[in-house]
Amino acid sequence: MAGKRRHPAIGIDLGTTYSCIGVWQNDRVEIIANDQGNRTTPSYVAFTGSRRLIGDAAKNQAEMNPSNTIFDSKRLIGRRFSDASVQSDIKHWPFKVISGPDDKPLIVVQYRGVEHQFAAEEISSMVLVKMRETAEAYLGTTIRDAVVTVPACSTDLQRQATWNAGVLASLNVMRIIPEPTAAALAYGLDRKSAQVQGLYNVLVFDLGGGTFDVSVLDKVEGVFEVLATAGAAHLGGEDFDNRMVNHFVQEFKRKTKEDISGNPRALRRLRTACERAKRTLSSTLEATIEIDCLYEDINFYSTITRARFEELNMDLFRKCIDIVEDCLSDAKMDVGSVHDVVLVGGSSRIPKVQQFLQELFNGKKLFKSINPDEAVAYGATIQAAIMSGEDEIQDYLMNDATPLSLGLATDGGVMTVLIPKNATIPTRKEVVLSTDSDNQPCIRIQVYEGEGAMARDNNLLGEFEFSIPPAPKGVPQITITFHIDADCILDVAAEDKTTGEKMRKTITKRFRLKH
Amino acid sequence: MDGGGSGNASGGSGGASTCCYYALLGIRKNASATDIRAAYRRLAMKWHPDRWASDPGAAGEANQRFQRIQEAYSVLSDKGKKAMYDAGLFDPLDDDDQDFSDFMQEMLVMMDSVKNEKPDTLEDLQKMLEDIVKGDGGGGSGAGGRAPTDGARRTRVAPYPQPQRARR
Repeated sequence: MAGKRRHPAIGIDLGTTYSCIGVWQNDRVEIIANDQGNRTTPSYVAFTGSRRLIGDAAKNQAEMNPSNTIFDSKRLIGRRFSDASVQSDIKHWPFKVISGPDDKPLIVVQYRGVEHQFAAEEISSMVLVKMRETAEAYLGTTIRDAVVTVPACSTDLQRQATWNAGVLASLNVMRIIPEPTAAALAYGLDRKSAQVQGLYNVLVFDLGGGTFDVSVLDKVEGVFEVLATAGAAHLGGEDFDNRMVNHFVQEFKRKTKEDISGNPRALRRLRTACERAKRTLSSTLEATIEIDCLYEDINFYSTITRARFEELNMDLFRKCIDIVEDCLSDAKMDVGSVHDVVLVGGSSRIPKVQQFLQELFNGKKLFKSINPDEAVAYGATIQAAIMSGEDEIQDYLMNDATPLSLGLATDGGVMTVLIPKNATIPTRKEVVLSTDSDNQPCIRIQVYEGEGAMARDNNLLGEFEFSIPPAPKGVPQITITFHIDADCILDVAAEDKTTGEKMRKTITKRFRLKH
Repeated sequence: MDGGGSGNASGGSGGASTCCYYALLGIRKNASATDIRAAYRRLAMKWHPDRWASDPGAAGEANQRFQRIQEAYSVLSDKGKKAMYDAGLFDPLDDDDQDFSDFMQEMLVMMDSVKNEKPDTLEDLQKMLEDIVKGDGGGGSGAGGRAPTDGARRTRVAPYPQPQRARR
């Protein structure tokens, strides 16, 4: 194995609401603080009349500049404007999103007095630039190699777009890994789990600002493997904040007869106060909301109890537990077989969430020894160190898995799965196809991603046509091979054994920087 | 084997250009499920391409080795597929037929429940499996739709006739 790289590799948790960065240094993970001294950085970008702001500075001025302060770009990345989730999100955002070429969502801002349109990955790349510069300032050297995380249920398009964001940020993205597996990798180094001999089962409960992910993994002989993954793309701290915001909008309306739901600036200030109150409620039973001049000259002072907050969000908390149960079921595991439950993401600190989780696991102590806001970046950094050949990290390995099933459209549009969800990668799979009609001149290879039984319900990743000589139906023998490498890059090959004709297409593409 | 069969004689090659899965994993044919899993993970630790990411030349071979190891494990870790493999009936190109694998699992469960009976010899078991496989061949049962004329199970592409043949 080659020696260590000249430059350190970093791990980046590119979160929906906050991002975090770590570097392998002095034989361990160091989480790097930004120029404000914060170990997590808001995933915010703001545009003003004179400059662009990223991170804390962007978030701090959001109230004064709501239509040009961009957050949640991760919710747009790799998606189409016409997606139902995008349409729903747009209603909540104070900034403008329009449909660009190929149904790609574009964010519209006023920057230095001129209108600009940005793709989501461009905004995410600005956050990544901020993270890279933070690391470079700390280390005093240039940073290129990075492992970046994505939610466990990301589609291939979302992973590609995240990769592209890294390229735009002048990073060599060594690997895109799922957030829960990064967290498991982080805890894999914890002394307690390292001492478990034989089979070690861990459930990662990742409730962040924007998304919810659950994964069940096991570790044998130092190798982690994903057994099952489940989650919700729209379940997290922001949703809990929304419930509080709605609650207080109604309260303000009762008290003053004024409706602020259409006022972006007021909503922004209220949301900021609600987020702060939510955090307070994780450690106290009551929190206050105090906003001067919330609307015109009206002040707003109120309180909310932890019990009320829990009541507002009870259905969402229960949904989290339902998803945990689904994931255990997929992994064919009962709660008694799980050795550790790992909490990840800031919202996993919510007491009622922890209570429900402990009840489900019969009172088991929940694992919180790593700061939940940092565990994902911690694990991404470990992965970066493994791939950089760091000597001190050679006892661990993450066997990654495909997040969604991959297959072909066959026989009337049925989705025929070649590589099922949660298959370990790298992997290769073959299937032999034939024709439905006499003298069919070619077969069309359409590659889909997703869990729907019909191909049209899934994401079309790519397609090509393979020419064949005339023959009666059912006679041709065309071997289709799917090959996914460790970076989740999918190659599809077709071969006619009788004629020797071959064709190959790389379905998922990546930019690679040379350096 | 979990069933009533005696021992675990090798079923021979599981497919074209595939060497014995047991040899690939470095285990005996009577290895337990726990042994199979531990062996696979040890080899994964050694051959996963992430281990060789800083040596691109070696990474290619590591990638191939890892995939072969993984294929061996995916078969031997599944009771149904393992039984078929041990009986010399496993075909990698058809192993996505989950119905048959599930059927094998059910049969193994039934065999466990009557394990007090005199165990079948391997030859008896193999003959039983061959009869079952032959029975599936001609009728086009299972996934539904017409079977190709050669009788082998194939997945058909949706018809997309083109006005003229594309030429590369």
